[in-house]
Amino acid sequence: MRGHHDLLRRLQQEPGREYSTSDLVETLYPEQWRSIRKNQEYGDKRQQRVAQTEKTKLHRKALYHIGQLVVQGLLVVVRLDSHGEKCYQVALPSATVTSAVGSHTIQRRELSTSSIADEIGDKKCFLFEPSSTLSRFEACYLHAERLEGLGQLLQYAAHALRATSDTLAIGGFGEMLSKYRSEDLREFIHSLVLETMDEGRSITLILDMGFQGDRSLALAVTEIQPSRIQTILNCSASSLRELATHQVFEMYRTRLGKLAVTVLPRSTPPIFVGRAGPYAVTELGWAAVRAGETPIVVVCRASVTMDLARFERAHASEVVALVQRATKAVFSIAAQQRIAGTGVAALANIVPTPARAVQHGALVLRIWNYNWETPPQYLRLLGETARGGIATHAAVYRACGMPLSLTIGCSTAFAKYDVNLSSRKYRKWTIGTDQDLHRADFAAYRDARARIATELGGVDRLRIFRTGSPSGQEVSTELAWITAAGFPLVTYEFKAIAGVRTLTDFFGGTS
Amino acid sequence: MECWFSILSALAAGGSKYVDQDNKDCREFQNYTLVIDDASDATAVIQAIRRAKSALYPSIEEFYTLTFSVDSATFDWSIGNRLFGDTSQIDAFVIPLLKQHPNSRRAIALCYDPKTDSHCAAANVPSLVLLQFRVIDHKLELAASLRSCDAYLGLPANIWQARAIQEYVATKLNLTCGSLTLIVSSLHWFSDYSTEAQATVASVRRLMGVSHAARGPTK
Repeated sequence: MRGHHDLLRRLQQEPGREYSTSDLVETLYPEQWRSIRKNQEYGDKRQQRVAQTEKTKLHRKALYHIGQLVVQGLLVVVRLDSHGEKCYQVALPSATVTSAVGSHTIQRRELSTSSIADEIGDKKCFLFEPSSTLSRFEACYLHAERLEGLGQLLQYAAHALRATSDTLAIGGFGEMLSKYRSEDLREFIHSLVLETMDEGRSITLILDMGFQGDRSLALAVTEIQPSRIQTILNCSASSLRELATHQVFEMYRTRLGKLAVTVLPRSTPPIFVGRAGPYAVTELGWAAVRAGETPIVVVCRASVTMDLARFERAHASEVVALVQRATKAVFSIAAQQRIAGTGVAALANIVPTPARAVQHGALVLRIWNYNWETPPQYLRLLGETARGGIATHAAVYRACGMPLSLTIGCSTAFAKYDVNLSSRKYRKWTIGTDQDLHRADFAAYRDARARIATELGGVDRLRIFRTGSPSGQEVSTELAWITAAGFPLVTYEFKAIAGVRTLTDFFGGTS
Repeated sequence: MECWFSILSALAAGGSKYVDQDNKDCREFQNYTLVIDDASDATAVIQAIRRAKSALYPSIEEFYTLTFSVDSATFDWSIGNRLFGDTSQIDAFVIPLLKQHPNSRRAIALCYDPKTDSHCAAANVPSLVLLQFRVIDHKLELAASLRSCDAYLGLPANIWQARAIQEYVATKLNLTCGSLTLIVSSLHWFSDYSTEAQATVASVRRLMGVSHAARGPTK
């Protein structure tokens, strides 16, 4: 009975999704399934044969539970795929499913994003990945320091990815990596690649350049060049100087063509980026991680992006009303996630009380196509309105005996967030030499962006296109100058924007 | 839920003035006892408030999750976890006890946990402290003790939760629900509610029409 219940509970998290028999086997037995996949992909012939036998056994085992749910009318066969394999869907004839939970009964209504879409459907706000918003959190952070080794880290990463829709950041390796050889690190990356292929999400490795092991892992990443694994190199001022003569920057330039750097003290919550935009672990989440209360925290439960280009001539009160609607929408998402038990099953494999991992996850309002010359007061108003809105909603819930620790933050959005966002209006910056950095207009831009980042609580990214073939020394010096303004995260793309070679050329053209 | 409307009017008119820990002005009734013979419209009241209020009010699904699910992941604590988590106070004690000894006065379940809640810095602790179930005249009566209750936003929620638990236990015992009694140490109304609350209550009245008659409020 437990197997039926577990399966149904997981499937209810994505009620509209179709599942092949293999999907269901994977849902029921994730660890055995992963081991089989790994042996099928990388094992020798004997291991592959054993894996095939194990796979057949697992299928047989799972089919018993699937059959029971079909008999009860809770699961229906919707079609046969090209291999003749049955595809299933959760049956929701009356939009209500009843399932036994423990020894009492819970009714779960069909979850939908329609009410949220109503809230934000004015074409000025966009929800990141509506299809998975109710079943996954947008971003999570996994802290490696207290884990037993790469094996356990891999297991945890696999579970965490199942609760994540955009990116899973892994950091805080500490001295862990120093005991591993380069081959082990490469194998680790290959295994991570396999996990991202299975789950279709990305992983961001936050590497502390003060540790030799982290530097070795950074080099291993440049050798393998995995497409779904990104790295952020966190440097102190001294490690940034050291790296000038180290091969890391050079390898990133020549092999990956890009480099993301933060210059943050270890006591500061990590910042990273996903497809939606930048993320930062909340202060409370970071405190919980550092205190060893949990190795994993949800960084962002859900986000809504506001397209400010559509508000260029709007009165401030209209923008405030927009922020209020967006705040209400993300609050609604959090409410629906609570009902759905989003991420609970996956996170329960990592922490005994998933609430510890979830409770500090922020709701995020993102802004797109804002003018970087926007006065900071404007952004301050956005933040204050959002925080005020969340406080009002949370007070109502508290009065109803539903204590919530919800935080809301503001950040920027990336163009990939939603295809319906307005076309980019801001300028991208290309530099050809370090002299370009010292131009008055670039310095003004850098300082303005730093002020905006401060208003956004540090959750922002500065992207620079760098042409030419700068040495590690040059990259190090340039990054030191850019980050000196207090900008939290800088990415260097070692290429020109199409048709633009240098800053000078750029200003010669049109924006 | 006519009693809700009566209590709000009575509080606004005659509650004693009180400044709470957060420095908010309110009016309160102390040690208030509310006996509800029929709370079957509790769900309709919640739904009406949701439609009437501009700020978000929790849905029935959320109340259900909070009240019965042991793994509700994102509340600081949940009644479900307190009542049904670990060794379920309801399933492993209250129900078996009343099955064996229907006249027992020991069928008590606690939402308050001194180990986690009795700390000076603890901000969010359950308002619903204790539940006592009794079988009287073949009906399941429930008396719920609350240390504090916001009469405007919290009372309908507390009534719904207590009623849901009462129904759950009654079903397991093959009984019908008897009266529901709330004993509230501080039943209050915040002064800054006035305008919004009046509008919301008026909308709820319109949406619901006249409800059942409650025995009370009594004091």
